[in-house]
Amino acid sequence: MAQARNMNEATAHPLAEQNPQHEPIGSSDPDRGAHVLIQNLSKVYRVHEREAGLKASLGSLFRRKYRDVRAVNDISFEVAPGEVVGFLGPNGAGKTTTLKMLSGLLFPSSGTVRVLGHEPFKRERSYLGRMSMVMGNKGQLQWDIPAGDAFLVNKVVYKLSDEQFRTALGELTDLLDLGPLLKKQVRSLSLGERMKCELAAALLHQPQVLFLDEPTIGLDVTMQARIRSFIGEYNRRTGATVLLTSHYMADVVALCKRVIVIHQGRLLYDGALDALSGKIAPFKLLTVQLEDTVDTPAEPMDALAPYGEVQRNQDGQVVLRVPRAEAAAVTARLLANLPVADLSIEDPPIEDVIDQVFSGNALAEAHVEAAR
Amino acid sequence: MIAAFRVFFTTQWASFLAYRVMFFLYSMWAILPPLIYLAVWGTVAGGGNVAGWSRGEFVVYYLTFMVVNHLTGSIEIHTTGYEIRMGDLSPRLLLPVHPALRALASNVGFKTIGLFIVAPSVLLLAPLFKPEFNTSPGMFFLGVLAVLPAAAMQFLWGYSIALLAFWTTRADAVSQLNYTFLFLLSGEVAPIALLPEGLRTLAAALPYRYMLSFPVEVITGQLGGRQILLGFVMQGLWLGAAWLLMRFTWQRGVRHYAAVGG
Repeated sequence: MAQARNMNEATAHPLAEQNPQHEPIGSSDPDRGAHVLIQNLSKVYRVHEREAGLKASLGSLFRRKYRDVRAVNDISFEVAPGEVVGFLGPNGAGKTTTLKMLSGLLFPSSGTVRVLGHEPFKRERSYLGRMSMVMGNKGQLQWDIPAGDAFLVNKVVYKLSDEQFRTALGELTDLLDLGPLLKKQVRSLSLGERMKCELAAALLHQPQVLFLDEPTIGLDVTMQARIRSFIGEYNRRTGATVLLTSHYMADVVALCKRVIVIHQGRLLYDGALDALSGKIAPFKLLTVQLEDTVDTPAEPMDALAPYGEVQRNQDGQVVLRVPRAEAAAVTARLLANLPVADLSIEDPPIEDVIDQVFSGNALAEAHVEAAR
Repeated sequence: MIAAFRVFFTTQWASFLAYRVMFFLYSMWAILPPLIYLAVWGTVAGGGNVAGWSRGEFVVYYLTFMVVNHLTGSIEIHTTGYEIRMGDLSPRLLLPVHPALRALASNVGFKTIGLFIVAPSVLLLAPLFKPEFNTSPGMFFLGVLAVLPAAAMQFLWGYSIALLAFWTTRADAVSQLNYTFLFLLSGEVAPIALLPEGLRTLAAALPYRYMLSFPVEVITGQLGGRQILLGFVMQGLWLGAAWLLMRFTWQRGVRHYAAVGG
């Protein structure tokens, strides 16, 4: 498990000190000190199905067919206070369903969910007041009023004092450059501006746990980077626990030391981002360039193909994929048998690893086990 | 909770003011249908009367009806029902306050602003139709008092129907059915006193009369002391029932929402 952030650092933050709801969880609690605890969690949806066409439509009036969809299938993990964990998976993997169970929007079909010592689905005010969830495609801001007015709603709903509100809003305004946006109607904000305001609204009450579901979706690269650095900064300043889903690997690489990969509702990997490649895609990429001599084969790709799977052949450079364990031996044979001008050995890019996982290739090639 | 209601009310008010034309049109809904029935019954009465009602009494009844109709009407199928259908309820559920409070603020905000359109419209219409007032200040006061439970009943009833959107995307169909009952049994198509015996009995038992017609009947001085007392008791009973219905629908509904996703 990634190193938990020191809670002293969290309480040292002036905003955290002002928030009476910020209290460290004792070591004797049933959650073992974790902010998020999930055990054997499953979620099954019952969906109505019918064929296309009028006949099927009429038929479904009288006899409905249902199918059970297991969106989350027996997953378990813990998140320590202050951790930033990336939740990875393709569309329909069960990421959002899990986040919704954590935030209390969904009721689990089986298993245990505890966040900050609460069972989220009970939606106790003492829990809701200490967490926040930002959904990239579903905002909480009212469209017809200025963002500043929407923040006032949260001030009252979360029972913030004038001082707490002023300080928190001041900080968020600085960090997110909200100044020019506060008086604009939310509907007239750009997507990026709106997401900045959504984040601010979600963080005014200084939540101890933050669930972010695709917070950078649809944003341009600059705004993605901005939001990303803000989330990192917020975590550093307040020691809040963050669970983040994103389709953009850059978000995950920048923010998360630890990732949880789920696919078709099952937990595939839980561990350090750095170790993900080794666990999930046990191969290396060898980039080889041959010398331009009379002995060089006319077609370098043909000459290199027996040494590994050719991934790419461009401008005389051939990228080979070889099993991690054989990388050293293959390199030695290459150097011995061919006029190699240049050679480099690299881990595959994280995007490729994830892509392989989701397309199912890696599963066939590697025995994947959860890191813990 | 009061502070939360106030802030919701303020923001809803601001939000409604962004749509002035829409607001004007919605407010007309409270006025136009009763105006049509006023024209019909006024014409039928002519210079004489219908079942003891003169033209001037119909005028007073329907003008009062317009205002009470506006003050008691439920808009929850358009607010909460829409939020559930569009998945907009999720962000509301994340806040540490019951979403019904925002719906209530929206309801009260709508009526407060709308009153600035409905009240002057009624005052402008009044001299055109020559009303005949037969009421006393006491009756007027009691009738105004009865508007509050009527509005609360319609809010809870309408909210419960809107919550059906948790189960079906066609909650608006149920809402239409409810409007039909309201239209028939709340004194809109005709004052309850003019309905056939069977419908009158039904109206006395079901909640619809107490949601709208009862305050109008009291304000216009149609009821005696005993009938007024009975009306308030029925309002209390149905208000309690509507509260239980809303709580039941909410608890079941939100669990269903949670069970099917959103």
